[in-house]
Amino acid sequence: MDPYNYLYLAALLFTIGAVGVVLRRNAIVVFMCIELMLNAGNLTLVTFSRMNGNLNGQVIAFFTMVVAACEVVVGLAIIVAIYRSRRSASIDDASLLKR
Amino acid sequence: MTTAELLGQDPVWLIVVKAVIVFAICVVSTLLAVWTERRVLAKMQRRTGPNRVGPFGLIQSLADGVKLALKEDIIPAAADKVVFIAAPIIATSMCFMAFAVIPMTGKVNLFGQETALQLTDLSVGVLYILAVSSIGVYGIVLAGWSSGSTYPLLGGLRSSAQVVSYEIAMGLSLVAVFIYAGSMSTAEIIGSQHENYWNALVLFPSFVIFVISMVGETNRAPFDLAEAEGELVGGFHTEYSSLKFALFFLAEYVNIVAVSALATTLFLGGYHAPPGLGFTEGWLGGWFTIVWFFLKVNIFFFIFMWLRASLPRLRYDQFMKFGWKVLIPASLIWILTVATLRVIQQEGASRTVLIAFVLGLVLIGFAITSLFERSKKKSEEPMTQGDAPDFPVPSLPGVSSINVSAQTGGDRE
Amino acid sequence: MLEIATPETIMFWALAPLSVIAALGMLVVKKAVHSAILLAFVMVTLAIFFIAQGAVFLGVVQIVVYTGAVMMLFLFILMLVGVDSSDSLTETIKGLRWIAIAAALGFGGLMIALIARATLGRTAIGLEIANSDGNVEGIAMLLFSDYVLPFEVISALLITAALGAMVLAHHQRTNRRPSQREQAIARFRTGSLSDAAGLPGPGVYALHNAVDVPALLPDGTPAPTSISATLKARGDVIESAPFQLDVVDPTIKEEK
Repeated sequence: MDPYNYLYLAALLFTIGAVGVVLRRNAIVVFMCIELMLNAGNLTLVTFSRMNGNLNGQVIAFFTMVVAACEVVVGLAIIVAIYRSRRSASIDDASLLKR
Repeated sequence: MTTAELLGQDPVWLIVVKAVIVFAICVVSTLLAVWTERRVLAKMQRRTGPNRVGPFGLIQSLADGVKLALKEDIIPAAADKVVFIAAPIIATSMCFMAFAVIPMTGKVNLFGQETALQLTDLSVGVLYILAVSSIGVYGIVLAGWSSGSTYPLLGGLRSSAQVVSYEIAMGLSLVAVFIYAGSMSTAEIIGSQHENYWNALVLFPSFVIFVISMVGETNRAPFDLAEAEGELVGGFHTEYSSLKFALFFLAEYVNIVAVSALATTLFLGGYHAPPGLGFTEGWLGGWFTIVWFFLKVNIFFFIFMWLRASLPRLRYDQFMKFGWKVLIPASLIWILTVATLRVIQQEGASRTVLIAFVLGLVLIGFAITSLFERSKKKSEEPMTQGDAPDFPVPSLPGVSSINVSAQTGGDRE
Repeated sequence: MLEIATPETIMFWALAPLSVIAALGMLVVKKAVHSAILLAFVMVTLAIFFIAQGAVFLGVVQIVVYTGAVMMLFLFILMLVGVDSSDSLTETIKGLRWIAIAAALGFGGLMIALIARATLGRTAIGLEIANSDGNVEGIAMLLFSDYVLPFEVISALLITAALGAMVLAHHQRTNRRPSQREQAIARFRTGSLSDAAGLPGPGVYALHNAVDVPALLPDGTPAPTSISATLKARGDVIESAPFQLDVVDPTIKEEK
């Protein structure tokens, strides 16, 4: 099968994730959309690896996964900390610096 | 010929037949497991257990299953309907999938075809089982969430935390096995144990950690905090009834059999006969190996029952502390040791070097624990009391002050 | 272009639309947990695509790490910070939705056009040669030779992240947690002796044993402590007067 199809799919998923980041206001959902974008990136890397016939792409996708895991751990800890102080997980409410 | 190549020759009809056989084995072993557990628990508690339906009460669990299926099916008004129905289906279907990579016999003849009773052999077979079981937990967590009630939610919450923490310990305990076998495929791990010793002997610490964390993974006593009936009524399945409850029941027991089978495969040499009884492997055209396999699985199943009968349930914080502060560091240190030993062995060092290395490690371990004990004693001394200020300050350890939080309406916790 | 459908093609055209629908569903569903379930589904389909493309190890790791750990963490936090953390979908900035959709169409169109135009070596080489020693072995070989430094850096990052999460989520106890012994002593010394051994259960000695019926004390009066404070605040407590001793109706009524 033509591996280009995977690239199109990855581009679609990435775009959907980006729209989610802009549109949704629950911090956790925004986070999940970022995860979707990272996953789409991984799909691209794996497809590149197949097209070029070496495993470098897969190794980098592996690194991406680790980075995503780090990001989730820290991000969710921040959300919990914010939730503790203001009882809300909406990103619009965390705007103390604006005023 | 390796098992992967052997299984690669299977025609499609044989794969279907084997899938049916594996499915049947799962269901039948669940029925028998429920009966065995009730009888053995009864014996341990000096009761008789079910003995009315069928010979020795053998078809009691079948009768219970039929009764469960015919009961009224209740979906609470506050439940999230789609997820509520999907949750038991996810839990059940995933635990069956784990069996696909478990080898139950050696090379046998099935309907005139040379094959082995194993659906497929993946190069990442053990990781595949971990992956499947981690999806299966979604069933429990989503059941807890979708019930729309407090106790199931708490059960689901506990279960998700439990799985994330105990899966790390489980995964780490597998690393040593991978290092020794040089592969992640179940068939090759069994092969490497057949050539050397069983992993349960060589990698004893890994074995212990795996057995503990597999009890944690399957939500069984003493780690059954997700359904602790004394605290959470029924935990995640409080709101479930009829067939959906039966599915959770089935999932729990298939899961137990699956992790027992995995432990057998990884640590007790799988379907191979114990050393000295190798001649039995040829009996019945190789089919006798399945007896050894189920004998070993039953050893683990008996451990499950034994634990349930003899140990009280852990408190939640003790359980988490045990996972994070004991199991994970212990397995990390063990992996370090195994990797180092492996390198020393491969570099061709003599046996004296090996023994010296192990003794050195033991000495360091003793030194660390004795230091740890000493520092513990010091920290147990009472804290010195500071001067109490006469103005309100936030309460600090060791300073007896005017308690602000009590005046403003209680500590925020 | 007509070609014979390989299993991979069938799999792709069955799963890819599903994953796109699930991803779109993530954007429109109200409840955060539903979003999480849909995302988990997308991740599993991506794992299947990885395996189909010869990345067996990565596919399984994707399920273990993403669906097993990361999404489980999300569900945990979702349950921790509130069951119905449902999101209102009304927009705060006027016209944001249309601007976002227009931008997305533009961006997505650009990406797809770029991919279609790019010549990334027109025919895929495939991973047969690279995977000849096994996919796991191949990745391990690269990871511990060419990519050792990134590997070390990444592991340092992972440890830092774990520490950071601990610091962020840490909750400093200002006073020592009372031990069980101290709690027991306090119960007897400070409170009344009547509830030192625990509060009475609801419905005891009353006509009903439901949770909203107060227990009756030996003298026939209702025990207010036997009802959960939540039920009381909600006003869901049944009037206890009919259950008191001297008002109890002695005639036996037919059960409904």
